[in-house]
Amino acid sequence: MAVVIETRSLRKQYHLGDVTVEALRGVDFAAAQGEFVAIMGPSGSGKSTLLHLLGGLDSASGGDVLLDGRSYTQMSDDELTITRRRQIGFIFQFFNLLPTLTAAENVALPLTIDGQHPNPSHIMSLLEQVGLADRKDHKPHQLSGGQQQRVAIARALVARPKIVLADEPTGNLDSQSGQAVLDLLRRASREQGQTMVMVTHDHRAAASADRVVFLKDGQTVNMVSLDDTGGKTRTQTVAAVMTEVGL
Amino acid sequence: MSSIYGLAWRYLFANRVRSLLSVAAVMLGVAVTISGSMIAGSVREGILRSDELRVLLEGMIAMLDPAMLFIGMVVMLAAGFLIFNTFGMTITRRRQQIGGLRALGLTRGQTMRVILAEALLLGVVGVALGVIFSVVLGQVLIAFIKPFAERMVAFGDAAPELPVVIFAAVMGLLITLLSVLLPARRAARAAPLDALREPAAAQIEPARRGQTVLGTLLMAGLLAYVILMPPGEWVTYPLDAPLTALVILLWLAGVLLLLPGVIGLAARLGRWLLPGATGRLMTDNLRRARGRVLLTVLTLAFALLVIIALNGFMEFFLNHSVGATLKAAEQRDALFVSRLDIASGWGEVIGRGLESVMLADDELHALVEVVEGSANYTLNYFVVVPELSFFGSGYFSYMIDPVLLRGVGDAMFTFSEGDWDTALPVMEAGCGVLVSPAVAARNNVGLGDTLTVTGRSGPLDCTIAGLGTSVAGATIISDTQHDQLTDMNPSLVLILPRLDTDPAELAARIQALSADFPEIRLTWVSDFAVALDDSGEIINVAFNAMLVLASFAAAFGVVNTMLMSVDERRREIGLLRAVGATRAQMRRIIIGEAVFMGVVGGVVGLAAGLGAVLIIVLTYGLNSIGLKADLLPIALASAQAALATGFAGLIAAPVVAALAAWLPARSILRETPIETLALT
Repeated sequence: MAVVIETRSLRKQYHLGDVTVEALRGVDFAAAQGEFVAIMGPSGSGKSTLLHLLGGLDSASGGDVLLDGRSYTQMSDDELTITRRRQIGFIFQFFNLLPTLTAAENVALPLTIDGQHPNPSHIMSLLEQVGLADRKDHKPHQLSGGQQQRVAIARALVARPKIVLADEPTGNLDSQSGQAVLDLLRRASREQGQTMVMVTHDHRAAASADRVVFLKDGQTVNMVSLDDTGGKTRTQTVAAVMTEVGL
Repeated sequence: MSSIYGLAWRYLFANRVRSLLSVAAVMLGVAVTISGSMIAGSVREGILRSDELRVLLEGMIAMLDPAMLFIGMVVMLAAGFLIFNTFGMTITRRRQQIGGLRALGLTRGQTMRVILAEALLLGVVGVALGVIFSVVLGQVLIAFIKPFAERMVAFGDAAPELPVVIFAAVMGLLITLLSVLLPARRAARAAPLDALREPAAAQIEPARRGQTVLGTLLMAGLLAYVILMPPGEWVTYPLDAPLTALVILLWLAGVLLLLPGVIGLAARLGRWLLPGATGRLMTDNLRRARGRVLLTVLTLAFALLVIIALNGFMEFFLNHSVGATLKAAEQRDALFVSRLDIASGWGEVIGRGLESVMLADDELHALVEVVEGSANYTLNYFVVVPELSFFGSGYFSYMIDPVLLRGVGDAMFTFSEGDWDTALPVMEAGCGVLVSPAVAARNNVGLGDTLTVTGRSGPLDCTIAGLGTSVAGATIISDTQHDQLTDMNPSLVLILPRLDTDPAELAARIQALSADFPEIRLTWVSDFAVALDDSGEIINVAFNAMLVLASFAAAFGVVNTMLMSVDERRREIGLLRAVGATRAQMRRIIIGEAVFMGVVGGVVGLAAGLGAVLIIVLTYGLNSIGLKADLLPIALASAQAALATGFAGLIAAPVVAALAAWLPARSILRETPIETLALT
């Protein structure tokens, strides 16, 4: 499978007063088309930072990110923004829906920002996929947390992006809603051929992925494919590697 | 940090931009109040050098002081709004911090004290800087007004007056503390756990339909009432001013009630006019946090309303009220001779005292010799009789020989009650006076009544010989009790050419006298009317200069509103950037929102300002100065005169708002999307 997104010696430093924090210390990462990758690591390991840099939400201190072979460092701010708009979908832990828009309008947002007139049947089909067709006219405050997150997933998929980045998408949900969200992400990667990169600290959530990358102190410390787990369950495999790398 | 007050200091220092905005607002309010009084004081000082000019311009000066104070107060209120907003924002941002401190044991009283200490500190710094800045501002404004004003007014020394400084300082501090009281109370009353929770995003709030309907009915009702049954047709002194103030207050209440509905309607209209994501998001934001949007739009609208109302009122006062009293004399080619060269300015006689403008015996004899047979004339003595003063207690009255007065007739006085046949015997028999209805009402006397006035050597009984309108509104007193009122010569000779006399030829003969009497000046009444108009223009310029400063305070308010609005929606802005909104799109949303508020404020200010002019003219009327006229055309002409200023304001309001929004837009859009999202 062709590589969709990759990083080369990616570095990120934060300056907190006089202290410099090395959030990423030269990470090399790649994800192929249709692959579902989970990134795990303890707090402060740099997993969210990596996700933000993959999405072009933040600028790297060194190294590069390439999406379909195009380097972020070569793009202007507007080019990067339009890349985000058309080729990357985001799902955040805290849902992040616009409170003044209905569920359908929130889903359509990346397209309307792009100046397109979204096809209502496309929006409805996405809402149907996430099980919220009957909630299309509801505002976010009229939806539960799980429903809001499903709206956010539909929004992330609406522009048919090459890659979807999810930051702890189940972190704020009960287990049932969390499982529904993971199923949706898996189905999107399988059926639409979209690449999913999900940050999580929950080994059960990570078990939904095809591959899990482990970060510690800003570096990749391990990686495990869940295609063949040698008789163990996927969850057991992830838990074993976590123990192995000391997470 | 030695005490809880250290928290106040640290917070102010950590949020320097907001602290500076608040200090600037208080400073501007205090400085404008003091410098306004400096301008009035300087004009007064210039005029007081000449008693003659003092009595002539007493009315103008009487208007100047309260008007300047009013404008200073408008700026102070704008400053109060700004401080209220700033602290509202401060408290919103510190909600969780305050919650944490409350959880650790900070009492409600301590919370209040910390926030009030912050306000006091800002207030004291703002007041101190305002007092210092006022000296510079006063001088700059006088230098700005001088080129327009020196034809009519000489400026004296300009220095801040201590009572005004104390008043401005106390008001500055008081408004600062009052503005903070509500946010401080809100912060102190919040339960620690509630404060610690993430605040919910603001939702779109529907406008209260009942309120909109009430506002519409009130404003439409007031307009219909003043147009169909103008109170100005019957009201007279002393009810005219309070009634006008009452109707204007009701008008403002109507504006306040209607405004939320107008904003909602404008937002919906904007959504229709600006399809697409940016237009939608921009207009949706106007329907959230209604209180703040309302205050911002109201500040802009109110500043424009005051400017238009003042301009319209000055037009009414100068051209249709006092100015109209010159019309009869103007139409009959009247001219006057005095030592005041009004057409080329008061400046040259200022400082020379009353004697310098009094006509000498030989000048009077020569003049009478020239005009006798070719014109009717009056010898006008200027006297100050407090009871008969048209404005305040120091406005001049004319003392005139009744027989000569009859000769010039309605060029000097037009009766609304009584006539020349009944008035003349009274004026020849003793002290007879022709007064405006306002002067009669103030003294509670009518036609034929006796009024005891203050003479030079004691009380003097005068009879009301007629009510009506005189030139410049001044009372006319018969000269039968000459010595009781003045020991000086006349200061002005009014000349009314007879029908068979060529006015220009007569003027040339009078002009020829200047070879022997270089001090005397000849002025056409029409030139005097222009000069009077100019003097009104000066006051207009002064008002407008001050109101420009008020607009600055309003602009600070918009900056602050936009800072607050952007700050509260940080997460939404970050999200929009994350899902692909470019910086340019976000700038359009943020600045567009401010422009929209500016447009709504401008349109409402223009409409409400023009309505206010109609209301003032149709309610105040002309009865108090004894004029009879159809008020509606005058009201429309006055409103029309303020239209140019109104349109300038209409354009300025969105520009000011856009400039004010530029700073917060620039600040937040410099961040990466994740910085914006992470700082929530």
